[in-house]
Amino acid sequence: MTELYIEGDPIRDEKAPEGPIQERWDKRRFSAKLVNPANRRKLSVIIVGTGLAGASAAATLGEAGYQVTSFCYQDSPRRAHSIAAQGGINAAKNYRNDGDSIYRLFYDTVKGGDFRSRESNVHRLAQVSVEIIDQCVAQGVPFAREYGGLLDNRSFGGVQVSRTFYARGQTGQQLLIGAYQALERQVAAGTVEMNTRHEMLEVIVAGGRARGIIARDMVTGEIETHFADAVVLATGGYGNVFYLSTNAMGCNVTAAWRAHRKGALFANPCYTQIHPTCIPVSGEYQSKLTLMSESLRNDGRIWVPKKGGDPRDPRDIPEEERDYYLERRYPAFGNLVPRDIASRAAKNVCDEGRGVGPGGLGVYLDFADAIKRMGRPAVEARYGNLFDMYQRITGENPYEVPMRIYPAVHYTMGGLWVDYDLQSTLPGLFVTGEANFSDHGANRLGASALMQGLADGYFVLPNTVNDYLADGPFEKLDENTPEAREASETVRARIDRLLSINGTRTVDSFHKELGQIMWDYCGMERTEEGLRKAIDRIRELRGEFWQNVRVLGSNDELNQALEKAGRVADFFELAELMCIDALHRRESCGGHFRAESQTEDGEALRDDDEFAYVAAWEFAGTGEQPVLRKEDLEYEYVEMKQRSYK
Amino acid sequence: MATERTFRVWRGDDDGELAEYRVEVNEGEVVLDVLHRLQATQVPDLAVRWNCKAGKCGSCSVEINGRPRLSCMARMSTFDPDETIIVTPMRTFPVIRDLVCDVSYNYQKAREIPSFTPDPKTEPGDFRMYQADVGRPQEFRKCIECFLCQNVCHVIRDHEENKENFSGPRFLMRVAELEMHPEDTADRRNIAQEDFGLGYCNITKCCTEVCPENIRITDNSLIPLKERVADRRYDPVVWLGSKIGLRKGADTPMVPNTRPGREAEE
Ligand SMILES: Cc1cc2nc3c(=O)[nH]c(=O)nc-3n(C[C@H](O)[C@H](O)[C@H](O)COP(=O)(O)OP(=O)(O)OC[C@H]3O[C@@H](n4cnc5c(N)ncnc54)[C@H](O)[C@@H]3O)c2cc1C
Ligand code: SF4
Ligand code: SF4
Ligand code: FES
Repeated sequence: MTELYIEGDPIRDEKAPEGPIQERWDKRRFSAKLVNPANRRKLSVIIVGTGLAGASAAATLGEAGYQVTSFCYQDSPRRAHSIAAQGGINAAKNYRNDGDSIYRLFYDTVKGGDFRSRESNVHRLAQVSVEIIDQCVAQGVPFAREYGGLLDNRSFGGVQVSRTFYARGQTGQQLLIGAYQALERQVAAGTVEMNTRHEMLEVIVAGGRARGIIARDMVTGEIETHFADAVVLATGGYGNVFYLSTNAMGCNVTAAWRAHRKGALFANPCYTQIHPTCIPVSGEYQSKLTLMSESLRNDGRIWVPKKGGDPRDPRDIPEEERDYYLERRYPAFGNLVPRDIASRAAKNVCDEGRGVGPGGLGVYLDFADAIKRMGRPAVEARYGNLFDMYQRITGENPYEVPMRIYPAVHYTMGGLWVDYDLQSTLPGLFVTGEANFSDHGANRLGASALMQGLADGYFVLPNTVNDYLADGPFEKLDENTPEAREASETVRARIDRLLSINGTRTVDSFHKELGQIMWDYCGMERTEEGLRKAIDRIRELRGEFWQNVRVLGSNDELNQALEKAGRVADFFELAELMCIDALHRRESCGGHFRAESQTEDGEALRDDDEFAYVAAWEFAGTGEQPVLRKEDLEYEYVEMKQRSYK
Repeated sequence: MATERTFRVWRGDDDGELAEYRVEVNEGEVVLDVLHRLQATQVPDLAVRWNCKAGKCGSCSVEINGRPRLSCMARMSTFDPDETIIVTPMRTFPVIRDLVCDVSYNYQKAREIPSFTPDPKTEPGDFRMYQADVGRPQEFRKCIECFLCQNVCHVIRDHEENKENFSGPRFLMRVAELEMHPEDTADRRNIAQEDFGLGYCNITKCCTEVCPENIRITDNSLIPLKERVADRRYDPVVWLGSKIGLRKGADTPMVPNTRPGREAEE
């Protein structure tokens, strides 16, 4: 296997302080160099991305007095993909007195991540989670309240306490409106400059530091050069490498990948989360899958008919002929087992031929019992929006007929490697939100991405970036600086090349084919043989892409085919690295399931002796062997156990 | 079950024209799927903006047979089987290309509204609010900013000259939402009238009719806001309150430096 990669020196996080874990974050904040308020105006920060992670960071750093320039490719910050999050956001507030605590949230996250995340980071996340909720309430976010007027909570995939705060199936939207409003306030105050409809296409690295970006104005095609003392990427996840996913259509890896090519290590690219509750595919031309919030699993019951190919209306299938397979196999957690387990179980029952709906790719999620127990109004109050959405998309009424669901790619735990300060291996390049790899290990718990994005943006980055900026402002650069000119020329050359191929296949057709390869061989279940085949096919297809893609139009206009072509070109390179990562990790953990490594009853089997490390990859050139740098993981506060949800 | 349908789609900018295509349509598809098929098979450079395909991001607003709609939520099955489908960009905003508009007018208006201003005396975690009070503004916060209501409102639809002094239903609703929040201490009623043009609205309800989130914009936000503004102006107690600086009574100004040309005037 070593022919596919080279092993290099190990890597370590140097920033997390030693000592008791509860004190590390305070210690780090205390030891970080400060920038006095009068100097902040002289220091500039570029923030790419305006989802929860980017908008919260831009608003906070702007308010602190730094000169912030923000970028996003949508026409408004509020269209970032974070808007789509439905279910909720975790925080260890213990309002319910059900035994929750910072330690328990920390423990659940480490365990949920299947012991592949860094203890110090996760503990900090649990600590600041408590502050996030107060911050959002102060912005007017309408979290659900219970009778007494206090904030309500519910329990969410994979945990046994109620710590998820929510706003009627639109939590992401409400949180993003809050962050957006805070951001707009800074725009009005003149501390943040907002550049919408700009796509970052390259990082400028000068004097060993990240010093700016090259961005394309997506309306005029102008290639612009922007400088700053530090650059933050908050550019989201890369689930769209699978073509079909629950992510918004624009989500892509370009920003992160360009940084990777310039020296930032990419960690754990193969850790992909497949979400169990999506609306199944309906046709060939479908370009996107729709997620149903996992909170539905709190009250809905998942089942398939005991017999395959049962043609009856689900309502006519008697209880004793239904298989509530999650409740049967995992009596303690039932329908609330973590996502990876629920997804694989659904795939297994469908593989056995017991799936329902078109193509047998679906299982039932049934609310009949919940409606009987709580009454329809209560179900409507809790899930009304989600039910409406399901009905709008499928034309079926879930109050009457069970929903049909199927797993789909949803979240990418991997991302750019960062230290405790959220700084990548490229000095001055910080990475927040889904774009980094930091807190979720091999599997993310429900309602923890919003928590992490906001923790990074409101609380962590604003307390660590100062340590780096305290040495600035750095040397002034302009467009004639060789590194800037080189970056801008790379971008132009690539665009010209894409426009000049003039082949016969559309960008989408390549993307779709790539996605299918990834889903088949690097999806829910991976094998050595399949991954090798995938790598060969990806290389072949990438070759064809650069020979035969058809991108019409020019650079000087709104040109969506050109935008897509650039993104798909980067997906090809990423896809190959994902497969190499998946191949080298000959164990199963979290969202990474290697068929060769499972227990007798088909559960994921970790190999802690060999694989308790973060795989951070160094770029060596397109098609060259990447270099594997390992960061060893140690567990002092949580005992490493084989995950069991029985 | 595939059928062939006629689509007429806007190509070009504000001076563009309709182009006609015959295109396959399958069961269960929405207009956006058909536009994608057109892109994939006949018009690779057709510009269409979309992102979530779930009616959540508000990017895919267009006019279909003259009616403002989200193309990702417009099911083909709702049209007559032989109906020609005409897809045009939103008329109220400048066209960048094909179906993509420049909606920056709206972001400009958003910026002018003073943000949520909680009472500084409330400690974090102390503040209580009842579900009923959460529920009321929540209806407005369902808004996905598709701007279909802005597009349809006659005050600006064919009246470029009103744009400066009219924020449109979406943003008047935002003002109403903030005003109804029990913990908010700013008072935007004066600027709603003076700066955001609440008076232009003559409650025709066209905005409510096109809202894909079914928000009752006119009944639940614009009319109550009009009532509050009237109270503010004519109620002697409020007038007195404003004199002695009680909450909800002291005028909050429009966010400074947000409306171009404003300083020069004053
Ligand atoms: C359907 C769905 C439901 C979810 N529900 C939940 C939930 O209930 N709870 C939970 O905790 N998590 C949930 N998640 C996960 C969570 O929503 C995301 O992980 C999170 O919102 C990511 O936020 P972000 O700020 O990191 O990135 P995003 O919100 O994806 O923002 C990325 C930003 O980067 C910009 N950008 C990217 N590339 C470039 C570039 N090259 N140039 C310029 N700008 C660029 C984009 O314009 C955008 O502004 C859900 C995810 C999905 C798909
Ligand atoms: S009700 Fe008012 S805001 Fe709505 S469309 Fe009519 S005039 Fe415009
Ligand atoms: S109020 Fe309705 S129509 Fe208007 S922008 Fe919001 S969602 Fe769209
Ligand atoms: S694509 Fe997001 S609302 Fe239609």
